[in-house]
Amino acid sequence: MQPDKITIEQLRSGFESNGYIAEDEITVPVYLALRLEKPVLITGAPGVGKTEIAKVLAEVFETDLIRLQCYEGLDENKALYEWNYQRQLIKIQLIRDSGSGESMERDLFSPEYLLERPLLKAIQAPKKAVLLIDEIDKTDEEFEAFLFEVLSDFQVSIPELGTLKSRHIPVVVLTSNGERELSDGLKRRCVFLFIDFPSVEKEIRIIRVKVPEAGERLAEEVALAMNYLRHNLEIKKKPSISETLDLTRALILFEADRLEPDLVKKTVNLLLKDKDDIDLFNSQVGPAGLVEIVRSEQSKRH
Amino acid sequence: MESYLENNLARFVHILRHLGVTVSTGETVTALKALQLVNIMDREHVRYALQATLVKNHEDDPVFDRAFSGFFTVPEIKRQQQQDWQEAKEERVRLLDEAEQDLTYLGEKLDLNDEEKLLYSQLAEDEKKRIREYLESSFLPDDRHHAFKPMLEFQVRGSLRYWKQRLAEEDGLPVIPGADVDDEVLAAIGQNSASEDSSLLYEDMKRIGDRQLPKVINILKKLSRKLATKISRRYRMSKKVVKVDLRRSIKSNIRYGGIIFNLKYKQKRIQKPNILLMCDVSGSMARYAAFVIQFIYGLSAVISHIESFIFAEELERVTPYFKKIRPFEETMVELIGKSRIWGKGTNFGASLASLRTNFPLLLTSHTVIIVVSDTKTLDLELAEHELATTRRSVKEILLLNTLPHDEWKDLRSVNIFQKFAQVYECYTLAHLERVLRRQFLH
Repeated sequence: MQPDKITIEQLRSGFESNGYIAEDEITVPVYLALRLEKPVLITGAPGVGKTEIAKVLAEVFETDLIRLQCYEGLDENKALYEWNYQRQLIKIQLIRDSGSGESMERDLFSPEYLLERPLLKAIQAPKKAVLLIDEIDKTDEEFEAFLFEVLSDFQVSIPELGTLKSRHIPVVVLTSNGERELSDGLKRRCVFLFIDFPSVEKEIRIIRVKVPEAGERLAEEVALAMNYLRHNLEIKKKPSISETLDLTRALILFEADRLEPDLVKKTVNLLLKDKDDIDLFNSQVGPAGLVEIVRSEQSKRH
Repeated sequence: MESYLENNLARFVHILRHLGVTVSTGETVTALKALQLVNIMDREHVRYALQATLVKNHEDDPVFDRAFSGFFTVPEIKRQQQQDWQEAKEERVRLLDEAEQDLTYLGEKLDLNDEEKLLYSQLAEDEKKRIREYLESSFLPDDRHHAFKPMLEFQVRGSLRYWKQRLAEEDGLPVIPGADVDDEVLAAIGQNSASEDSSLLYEDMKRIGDRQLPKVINILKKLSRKLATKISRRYRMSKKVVKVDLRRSIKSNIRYGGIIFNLKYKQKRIQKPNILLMCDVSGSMARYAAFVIQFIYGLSAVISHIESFIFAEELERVTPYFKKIRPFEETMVELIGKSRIWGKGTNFGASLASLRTNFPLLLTSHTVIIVVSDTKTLDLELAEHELATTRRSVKEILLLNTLPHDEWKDLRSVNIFQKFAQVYECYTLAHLERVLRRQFLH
């Protein structure tokens, strides 16, 4: 399947067959990014499934996923290419000892000594790859400016080797947790997608797909509990989908078929990862309170 | 069909821009291409396609939703919008006519702009009558009428400006029908916007009612927490490679016989700004001050070195109030209770002089002073002198001006501040966030 020829239905079924539950609000922007050959910039709270989209796309198109994990201080050397300095030095030593210095300089700057980093790898890939630029908001602004230059031309100039053009424009997925405002220039070049925490219905579907051992009732109760925690408590780190799945798996280990106060008490550390959040939960709701709320919400739904 | 699509898209983009969403021409072209790739008869697909290509900030989503619902609506509602807009336009013309007929001097119309005329039309009948009577009774018994008319216009303008300010302070400005909106969809969206929670961000802080306070406090908490995380992250030393550190490289490679095998790099140092806040708490500013202090309270919880002062006739240091970990309401009650200056007149010059004399160590080349004020102060000369002196010892002075930008030109005080400080319009929470983000996060 070619990314730039795909239809919405094909993409939807591709997501589904790879266990990624996506509705039109996610499918349509991703589809447009693929068809328009533009990067897709995905934002949203940690753990809502931003990175997963890139992984699933690589599966759907049966291609490589090339990942560039961003961090503060990331520079072109780590993102694009670097000369293998140590190897060059060893070569110099060897040549010096053997006495043959002819054309040494040309040899030292050949592709053999080039360390390809993710961006160059994606540009040079023999097949259209999926390039995941994860947590772009963690980089510095200078790097962001450099990045959108690379992303608009998909070519790289290496002074010693010349210009390397991309064989295929990669599928580019950028993710951001919104820690820093990204530049307008970068945003303008991308198709934008904000992923919110899932609705109760969607989360039930996710639980059923990812943890099939969980019964309908347990999945519903876990989803309702998560929904309550995210929207009604002023907690610093809201539980993500992966935490929902961890909790469900833990409950399966305890052979539970529904939420009970003592089980919530045992597993609360899987949901809330900050001491202040746990204190807040215990003082404002508590395990028994949460179960009571979940039951009352459940009765309203049926 | 194609041109129909293009025209509609251009009009929709115009509406988004009018509502404050930045959309470039390139993005509009991308949106058009996107529309050609989705089923145009599927409303939701069109919505997601336009949202993904035109709106690049999640904060703008509520605005987009409003614009989309208003624009892509059923024909009956469209017709109703058209009718309402037409009526509002006619009403506007009627009011303008009425005002023009009332505001004359010896049969000649006064030279006033539409906004002034419409403001007149919204005044109580008694006030209108007073202005009319004043105009009727003012005339010169000789042939200097033409020279006298501009003076009268100046006086009427002054009186209308006074009313504008007073109405704004009391219960909001009157709704002016069809005011400068050239589109019926925009007019309809504008009327509905006040009910949205998200519009609190764009509401003048002084007009936010007590009922909405819990929501505002929540918004402020989120903003301050978000900014605090960002600021503290930017404080960390960058690992970015700048240049090779030769001395350290040679030293660490002696073991390889002097061949520089492992390079060592110099690291960039990031200097933390020291933030010093001065918040005007005089009578006219008290409401803003409460919000700004709430915001600083949130920031102080995470960033330790913010120095806070309040000022009116003189200066008071309030940093210690924020050092104690306790609820904001308690902090505010104690602060206002103990303050001797809360709600009094403003003397910015004297306050700044007191800052220089009593806290000289706080004023260094790394200090950024943030002043929150409407710039209205006693003794403007002293304020100018003190601003000039203080500016020389600090990195920067930022003034968050709670007056709307269009009023600045009439005030000498703003011009003076502009000489020494970067002045930003800041009377909504959105302004506040934007200024702080631009100043400290780039």
